Order: sequence, then structure tokens, then C-alpha cells
Amino acid sequence: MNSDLAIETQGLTKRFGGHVAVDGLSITVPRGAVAGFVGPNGAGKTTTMGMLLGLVGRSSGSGHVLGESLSDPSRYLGRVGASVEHPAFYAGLSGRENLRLLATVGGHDAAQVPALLDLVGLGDRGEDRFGRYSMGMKQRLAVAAALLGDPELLILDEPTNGLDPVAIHEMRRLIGTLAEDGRTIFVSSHQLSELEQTCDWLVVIDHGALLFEGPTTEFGAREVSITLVPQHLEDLGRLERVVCTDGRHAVERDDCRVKVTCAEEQFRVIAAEANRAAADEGIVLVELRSDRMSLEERYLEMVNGAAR
Amino acid sequence: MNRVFQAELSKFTRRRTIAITAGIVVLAAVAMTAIVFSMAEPTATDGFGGPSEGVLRPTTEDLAAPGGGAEAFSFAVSFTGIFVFVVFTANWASEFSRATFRTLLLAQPRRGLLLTGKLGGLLTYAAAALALGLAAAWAAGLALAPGADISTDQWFTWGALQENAGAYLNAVIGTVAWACYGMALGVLVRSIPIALAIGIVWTGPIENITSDSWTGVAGVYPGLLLRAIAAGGTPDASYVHALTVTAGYVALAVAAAVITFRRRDIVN
Repeated sequence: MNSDLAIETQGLTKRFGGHVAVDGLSITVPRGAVAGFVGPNGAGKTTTMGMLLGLVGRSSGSGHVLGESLSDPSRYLGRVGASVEHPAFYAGLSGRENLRLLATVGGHDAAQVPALLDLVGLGDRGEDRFGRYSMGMKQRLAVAAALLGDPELLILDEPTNGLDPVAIHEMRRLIGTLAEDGRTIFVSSHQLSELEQTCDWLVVIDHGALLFEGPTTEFGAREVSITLVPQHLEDLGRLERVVCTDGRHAVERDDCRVKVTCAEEQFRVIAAEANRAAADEGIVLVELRSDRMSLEERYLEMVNGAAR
Repeated sequence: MNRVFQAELSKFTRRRTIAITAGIVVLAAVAMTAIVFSMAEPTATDGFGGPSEGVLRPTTEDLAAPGGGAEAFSFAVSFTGIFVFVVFTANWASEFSRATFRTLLLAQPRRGLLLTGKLGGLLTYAAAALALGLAAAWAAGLALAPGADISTDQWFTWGALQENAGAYLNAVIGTVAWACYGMALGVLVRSIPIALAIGIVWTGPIENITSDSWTGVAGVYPGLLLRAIAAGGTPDASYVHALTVTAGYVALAVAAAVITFRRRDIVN
């Protein structure tokens, strides 16, 4: 157990019958990080969060949250605020009444409820019944509920789900504001683009298994794609064969170009070699371009690669 | 548990909820009292004019006795068990189907405490509603008795107080039992329509039809036992027997609900 970590799991596994939802997942989230938990729908994000929060039992594996074992969530849940899946509150009670009820159940001071409603932008709608809230308001109420007791760790499961672009922008801003207090935030999404602006740590999973974990700056930054476009499209096949013949780099071809993906520090050498190889074959290039992969491209490549 | 209990009670102690509940309880108590007093005859009948068997409709003698003020209440409670059962089953099942259990578990991860605290809150509210129902039925009876030529002199004796307390206790016991059965079914099934279908089919057609052909089941079936408790015992099931077997059923229901809830993944 590392005291610098807010979340740490080892070989976390969940099986539902014959289906393995989470497969030996070992992840870490440093204290104070705004960590994005990314993966396509059905990747196992919600199940993993459910296990961290004691809602879902583990099939095997272990872990710690805020230094306490997953075996007894009651030892740490008082310091954790969470919103998992869709916001679920009593439809007949107002937003304010729902928060007061949860404050009572959790042993928190109900006096903080008005401030929390103001923080999430529901100050003037607190008396409305939850059943009449829009999806954006419901999501914001869920964040307010998660903030009861001023938790050290916030676990938010797809807080932008079902929101329009304006509401998504507001939610991002809210998460950014919450991160300024120094608390750890672990937020999931199936869209990396939603998280790359706010997160400084990324955990990427697919099919319940870890694909990447580390600082956001390390995700995708090391990958560069080199695009080669021949003058004559009939040369595409030959071009694909002559570039990077060592097989150490991913080479892809589409209808009009060949793309080589390599590490950032190698791209100058690879590009020069590819250019020379094309020239030696008598292939004239009309375009030779290098691009750092966007996080989204890197994510899609990673997920698609895992799927293959 | 205390915090969950308080939170559960807070859902019901809102002015609007109290007003609606009180209105329904008082209206039902007054209406049932009016029906009982208007249909009371010197000889007990089964409610359809035939000789009485099992649950009896109060006679004018019963109504003039010390426990007369609670007769209409007890008579009404013997028929409201299924209502209590439906309300409690729907309440528990909806906590799953609407995923509010998930939200509550994030605030109180000790599942046994959450379940029993909620049950305690619900039952406290139900007990208060029953007390109001008894008071309303007693007051309505007092107002209606002169019109039905029934003396209420015995209603103001020490014996009357004991009879009323007994009637209230039986009503609470019945409510607790129905509530626990409803909780167990709601937690086990988690679906409102399926839980209600199972509960209503069992306590309605199955218990009543099979009891017509096999009298022994009156001392076994949970719904019939509770009817026996409400009536202070029947020829087929004594009060003590009904109480003892019901206590066993309630313990089983609570244990099944708690064990299931503690082991279950909350995935929706």
C-alpha cells in the first residue's frame, strides 16, 4: 500500500456468470490527481468504480482506497464522494430535501446543503422536485451529493452523460473548480476528448483490462505518425512494402496514402529512411508529413488495437 | 441505524405527506366505522347475511362492550393487511428499480444498518398512522353510536383502555409482519410489478382458495395467521399460535432480506 496513492488495485476481477467484466485490473491514482478513467462503453469502468465503492463484490483481486482496504468500504466511504451511473434520487423530494436526507444518512452537516446547491448552480432550483429536473440538473445534483462532507476523493461516473454541449462545458468547468481544492478526482468517460482538458492522469481500459496508465502528457505524446503520399496512386502498394521493412513500426495504407507510426524520438530517422526508400524505388512523393497523434487518435488506436 | 431511521422518517414528516396520510387514514377510519355501525346486528354474521365463520363482523353487543370503540378499527385493519403489504413491497422494490439504494449505500455502506434503519422509519410512520386511525375510528364511533342505539358507557372504563391498547397492538403486529414480508419480497425480487404480482396472487387467490378446501392451512399461511391475530384468534388458529408462527415467519423474512441485500451487487 502506497500512501501517495488515492486508489490502488491489484488484479481486480469481476465475473458476472461466464462474462468477465473486469479482468485482473491493476491501477493507481495518485493523491491530488484529476484522473480520467477512459474506455469504450462496456469496458468495465462502472463495474470497477462499483467495486471501489463497495457496491459490487470482487471476484478476486485486492485494492486500497485512501489507504484502506477494499474489504471494508465503511472505513473509507465517509471520505469519498461518488456519483455512479445515472443520478438516482427520490423523485417526490426536492433537490434540497434529497441532499438533506443524504447528509443525515451519511452523518454530514446539513447546513452545507445551500452552499453546495449554489456551487453546482442549483441555488435557485433547490426547492423543485427532483422528478422535474432536466438531465443536466440531475447530474449537477449528483455532484452536489458527492460533495457532502467535503470528501478527499471524488469518484464521478460519466458526469456528462446525456448533457448538451453547454451543460458539458459547465460540468467540465465545475470539475476544474473542484480540482482546485486539491482533492483527488477520479472521473470516467467513454470520450477521451471530454477528459483531456481537465485531467492530469489517465487510466485507459478496454474489455476490463488496463491499456494505459500515467500522466496525460505521456499519453499519445510519444507517438508520431508519418504520412507519405505518392504522386501516382498505383505506387501505394510498392510504397507500403518498401517503407519500414524491419517490421518494428505500424504501417497502414488507405486509398491515397501510407502511414507509419513510430516513437517521437525516432520519427526523423524513420521519415528520412522512408523518403530515401521511396526515391530508390523511383516513387515520387508529393507529400511527406509528420503529425503527433492527438490523444483521441491515440486512444482510438489503442482501443481498436486491443479489440483486434 | 439511527441516522438512516431519521432520514427515512424525514421523507414522511413533510407537511404535505402528513396531511395526505392523515386525510386518508381519518377518512377510511370514519367510513369504516360508519359501515360497521350501520350494518351491526345483534347476531354475528359473515358479512353477507349468513352465519358467521372465521372473521366476524361486529355485533351491536360487541360495539357496546368495553372494546366497542376499537371494533371498527380492528375490523378495518383485518382487511388492510394487503394494502400495507402492497405499499411496503412497492417501496422496497422501487428503491432497487429507481436505484436510490445505490445512492443511499454510498452514504451508508453498512447494508444491514441501512435495511433495518429504513424498516424502522417506515414502521414508526405506519404505527403513528394506525394510532391516528384508532383515534379517528373511536371518535367516529362515539358520534355514530347514539344514532345506532348503541350505548358507549363501557368505552370509558379501564377495561376499555386495555381493549383499545390490545387492538392497537394487534394492528401494529399485523403491520410489522406485512411490512417485513413486503420488504423480503421487494428485496428478493427487486421489480415492483413482479413483487406485487407474487404477493397479491399469494395472499389473495392462493391463500383464500386453498383454505376453503383445507382448513389446516389457516394455521400455516402467513396472511390467514395475521387475520387471526387481528381477530384475537379464530377457531382454526388460536391467537398464541398465530403470534408464534408469525414471529417465526417475520424472523425468516428479515433474515432473508438482510442476507440477500448484503450479498447482492448493486449494478443498476
